[in-house]
Amino acid sequence: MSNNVNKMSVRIIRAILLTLMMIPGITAASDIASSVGGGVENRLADGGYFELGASVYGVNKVDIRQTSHQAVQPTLLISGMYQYKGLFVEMIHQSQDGVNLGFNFWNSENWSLDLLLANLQTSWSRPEDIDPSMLDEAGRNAYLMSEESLYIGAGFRATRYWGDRYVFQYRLVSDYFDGQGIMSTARLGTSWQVRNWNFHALASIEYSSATLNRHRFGVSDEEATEQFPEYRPGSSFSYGMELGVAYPLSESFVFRTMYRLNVLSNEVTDSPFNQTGYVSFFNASISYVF
Amino acid sequence: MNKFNQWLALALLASPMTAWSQDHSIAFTATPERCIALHKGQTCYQDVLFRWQTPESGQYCLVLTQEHRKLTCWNGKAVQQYQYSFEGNKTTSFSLIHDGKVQPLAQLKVVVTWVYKAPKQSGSGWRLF
Repeated sequence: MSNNVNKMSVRIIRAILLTLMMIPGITAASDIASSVGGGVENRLADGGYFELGASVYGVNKVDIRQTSHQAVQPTLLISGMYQYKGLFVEMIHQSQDGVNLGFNFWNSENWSLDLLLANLQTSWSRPEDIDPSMLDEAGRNAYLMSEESLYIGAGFRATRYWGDRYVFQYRLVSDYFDGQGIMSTARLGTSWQVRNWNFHALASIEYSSATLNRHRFGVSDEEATEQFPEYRPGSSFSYGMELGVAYPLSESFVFRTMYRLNVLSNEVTDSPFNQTGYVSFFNASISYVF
Repeated sequence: MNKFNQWLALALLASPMTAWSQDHSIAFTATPERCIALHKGQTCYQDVLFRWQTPESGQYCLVLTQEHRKLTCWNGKAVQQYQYSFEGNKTTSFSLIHDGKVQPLAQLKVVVTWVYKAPKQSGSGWRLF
């Protein structure tokens, strides 16, 4: 019973996350141009914003388990962040790092350190109440085509600012919901303004621990089938680049578009679930800023 | 006598109003009147078209009010519009002046505004990769 409730709550949160992040597995970009414009000295102020809008995205199919994948899809845009006395919540449309609840505990002129109390991202998981060794080949294939689940982690984040134009951010989180493993990212971003167009570019390196890769892309001996042979990946690094632009249509409406390319590591592409070596993602949106 | 004084006072008060209403016939406009940038404090860019109707005679100028900088000058009705590439991070006043006179014929403002009005929103955005 409690297992069912647990699953239900995961499904609800997952649905929210999917709406927020738009695509499973690869969450999206952030409004980096907007981040630089305000300057470093204002980053500690209380406040926030909320946006609603419409968005369309296109992405290639990366994983065989993405059974409802469509190349181009419209979606609702829900985005926002709020900070009060250091405590913050972030649900940023196009963010690559999911939904964050955290606490900003130390700042200097150029540095900012945050505790991430809850970092929520989409992930994969197998049904908990099924023993795969009791299933036949077809049953195990269906079992391995598991549904998406949540990665719920905690950790820290350090951000270094260079004026209004450059930012470096390192983050490390570890899943405490069901021990999926460690994820760490280092990103370097820049933004610039061309008339009222706000451009941003972002370069990323992402580390996934062996535990995380095994949870997401591995197949154990007892689960293995002809279609999904045993696979035991190690830790990996993936690399990404992103380019985006935002334009104010009026005092309340913003147009955004971005493109991101992530190159996956062999540890991921060698998985029987994987279908391609890269993730190519495009998004365009119009949102109302409250 | 009291009534006369009241009428006199009203007449005196009304005279500048009359002058302003004559100035309004100049129909000094800016299109668009607002410049919208994304984040508070950013420089806003906007091509603004100024239009006016000046009398047949006299020398007139379009000026940036605060800087007293003349953008363009003309005689009579020779010029009735001017395209200006506005760049600024605050609301800016423009005046139409009759050369040699202190009082502007007409004034208007190009309002600079932003979508994200709190600097915080942009500053924290870096957290949201």
